[in-house]
Amino acid sequence: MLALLLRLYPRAWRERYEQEFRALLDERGLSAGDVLDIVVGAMDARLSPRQHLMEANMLQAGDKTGLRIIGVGAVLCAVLLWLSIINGGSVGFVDGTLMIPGIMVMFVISILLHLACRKHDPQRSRQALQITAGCFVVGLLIFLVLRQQSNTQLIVGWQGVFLAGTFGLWIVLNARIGFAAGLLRSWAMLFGVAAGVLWIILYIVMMGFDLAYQPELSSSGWMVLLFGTAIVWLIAQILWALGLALSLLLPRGLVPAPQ
Amino acid sequence: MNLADFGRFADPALLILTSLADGPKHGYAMMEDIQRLAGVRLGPGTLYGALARLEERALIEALPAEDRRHPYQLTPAGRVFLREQLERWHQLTGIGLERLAGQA
Repeated sequence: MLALLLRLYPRAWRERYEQEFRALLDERGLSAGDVLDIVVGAMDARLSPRQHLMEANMLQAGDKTGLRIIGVGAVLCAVLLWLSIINGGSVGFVDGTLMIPGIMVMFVISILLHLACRKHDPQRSRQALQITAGCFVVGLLIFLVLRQQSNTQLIVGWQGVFLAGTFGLWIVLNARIGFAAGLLRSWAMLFGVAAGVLWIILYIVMMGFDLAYQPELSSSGWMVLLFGTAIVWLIAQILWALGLALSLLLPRGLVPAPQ
Repeated sequence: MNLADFGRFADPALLILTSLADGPKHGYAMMEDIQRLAGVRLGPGTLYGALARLEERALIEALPAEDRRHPYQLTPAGRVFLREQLERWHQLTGIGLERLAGQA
């Protein structure tokens, strides 16, 4: 069991601390409380990688690679989503009256969150904005190409705009995974790893809710998953913004600073 | 640098620094010493979370390994930092006790 628990820690941490950690547990033994403490410690080590355990260029390379993967994944997700719309035919649930304003609100909130965290993490904020803009343009181009080539179940007018916007929004939301992960890491650092665990539980609950209550969309079930992801994403980012605001109000320490 | 920068590891970090004030110790010895002097049982995950942060800030340093175990010791910066934190708490403790005595 100890080997499994240690695998939860990042590689850099294990290279530095694993031997002495094992030696400590050989002397002390492993209680149930220790197991939980180790799991929480592993989450902390992953969410808050220690600079002294990693080379600076490794962190930067990881960030860039992560963003590239996210961008490619976002485009693939968006293409799959588009194919589902064309082939599944179940777009009846999409109510333009509600969805268009709803998506616009999500876009605006997304931009406001970018602006809010610019000071907190300017580099990541700039990257996220670049991805957002780039992916929206890519989404629009893919929509235009597919519209040329397919028949017309493809939609025109307001619905066309809406779908291009939705398409771009899905790309945006997926592309922001890396950015949001960084924000969640900050949030977890402020409020403890429990915040990250709470987010994961919320995500699972939302996904379950979507799957349980949308059985008629079984042919486009994974589209529901993406939509559920968007909702959870929005909730997580709102909670992050609230957490950041709260953290600015928290006292920095109980002990007064020296005069 | 402030103890509050350690977030939820602030208390464990202070306990570890205090434990190391009388000489180098490895992880298990620190845990036993902290249990003895403060009645607090640190979990291994918490201990190493605090150790990693202290080492990152160069307040402690690892000594060469002895049979898989790394003893740690305070750095000069760690001694200064510990002294500052303890003096602040000492000042607060004194004020608190005076006020309680005044109310008694």
